[in-house]
Amino acid sequence: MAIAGKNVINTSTNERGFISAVYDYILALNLNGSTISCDTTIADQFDDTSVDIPTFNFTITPNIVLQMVRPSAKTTSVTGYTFNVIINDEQKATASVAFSDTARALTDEVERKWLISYVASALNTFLWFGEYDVTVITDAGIAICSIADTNNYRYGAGNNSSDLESATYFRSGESGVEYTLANLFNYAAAPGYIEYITHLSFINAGQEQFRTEEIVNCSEISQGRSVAIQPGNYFSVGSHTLIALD
Amino acid sequence: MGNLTSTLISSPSTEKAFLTLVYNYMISLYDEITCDVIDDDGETVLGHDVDSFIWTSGKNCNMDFYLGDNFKIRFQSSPVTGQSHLRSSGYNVFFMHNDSIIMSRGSGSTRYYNSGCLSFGKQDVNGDVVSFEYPNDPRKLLFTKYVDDNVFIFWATPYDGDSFKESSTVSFMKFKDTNNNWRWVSHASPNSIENGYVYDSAFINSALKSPMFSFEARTGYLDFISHSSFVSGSTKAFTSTDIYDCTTVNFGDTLSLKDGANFLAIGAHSMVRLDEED
Repeated sequence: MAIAGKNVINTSTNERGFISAVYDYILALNLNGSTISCDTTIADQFDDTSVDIPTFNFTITPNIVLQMVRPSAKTTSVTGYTFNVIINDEQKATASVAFSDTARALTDEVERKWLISYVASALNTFLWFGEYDVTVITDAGIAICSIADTNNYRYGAGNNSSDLESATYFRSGESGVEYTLANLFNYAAAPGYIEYITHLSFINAGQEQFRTEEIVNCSEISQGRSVAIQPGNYFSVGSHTLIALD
Repeated sequence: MGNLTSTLISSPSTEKAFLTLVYNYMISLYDEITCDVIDDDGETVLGHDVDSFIWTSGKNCNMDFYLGDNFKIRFQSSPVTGQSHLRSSGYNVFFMHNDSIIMSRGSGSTRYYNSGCLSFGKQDVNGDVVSFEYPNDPRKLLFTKYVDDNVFIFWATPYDGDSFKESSTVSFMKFKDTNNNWRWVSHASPNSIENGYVYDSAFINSALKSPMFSFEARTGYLDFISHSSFVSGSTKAFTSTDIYDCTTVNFGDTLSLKDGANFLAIGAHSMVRLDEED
């Protein structure tokens, strides 16, 4: 069973205050028992004058990392930060996510805003970041996920959109092998119906390599919705993917 | 569960004698089938059996087998003038709804046009083809059918094919959906159900099969589900019964599961059940 949340991080402080709020929010996420860690602190990145470019590496699960980095030195004004999805020490996706429509200096005390959404079950985590003017996850600028298979291997993927279904997946600790997600229901079911099967299949070289747990592959739905399928409630993390909610 | 049977149609005699064998086989495929022999104009009904068929240089003569719901399969002979006699090497074959061609083999220009007729004989060393007038090398076709309560499939294989799965050039099938309606499909490639548009009895609402398991299963596994889904546009139109959707298989193979169940692969991602052998 999963939990889901969507929050707008919105401050009218300087950049340190805004990033600090984001940092605290990410580290405080209770992802059904697991948490996200970071390799640094706000103080280390903002208060240490030897650090030109604040860089934060959030580890979702081992080897599956969301990097949040200022695009240029603290002395310059920026509209947002760059997000990189790094899996097995290789960058797999990147996107700039604006927190303002205007470039702001580090010390400007103005409104900065991001949308952060997440869904997590005991074995799977999905995260989306949207720009200052985004209200739904389908408009997110960067997405990352960590998914477990039935043997408890972890697989990560990232994309510079909200779409993680068409992304390329990589196994934590494994080099050079790419996996894609197979959609078993390449259609919309009859009106009022959802067809589903209680796993996802991942493919390499045209062959199924592994299956997931706790995630449902389903006929076409809208991403980012709560979906009731008796007897349970689900959240659509993609147009053909559901996670059962608590 | 159903039966798969192959029948070799072969005659060392004249083309009329061979066509008689073809007629006898086709007319007995199942009870409702009727036949019209139709002239080159595509309209004039000459009769209903082989005796009505005429071979005229450069002109078509058609033997239409009505299969139900106004669908029919047409065997067309179109002999061309040879050095001293009429000659042909096979039949153009069409799968049609009334006058609309769904599948064509040999001529015409349609959505499923494929060159090459359903050939019953080879060219000889002089480049001549089998004369309709004279005995020559035996004319041969291999017909194969799968029959159960909800699925009927027909494959025709030219003279040089030993099995329907190796070189079939013509196929059609009908099957029931979950609302007990017959659906029809034909394609110039043998694994018709996965490539052709599927029509209802009124020749509307064409849909395509949507393979769920469009990949190979893990080694040693066969994933399947006991129905197939068909989509129109991006929306599911209907569900078949008795056509299993499955991970990658080889068309024509017989597959046996540990529990003794046997399947026939009718496409790369489609199977039907086979009766247990006696």
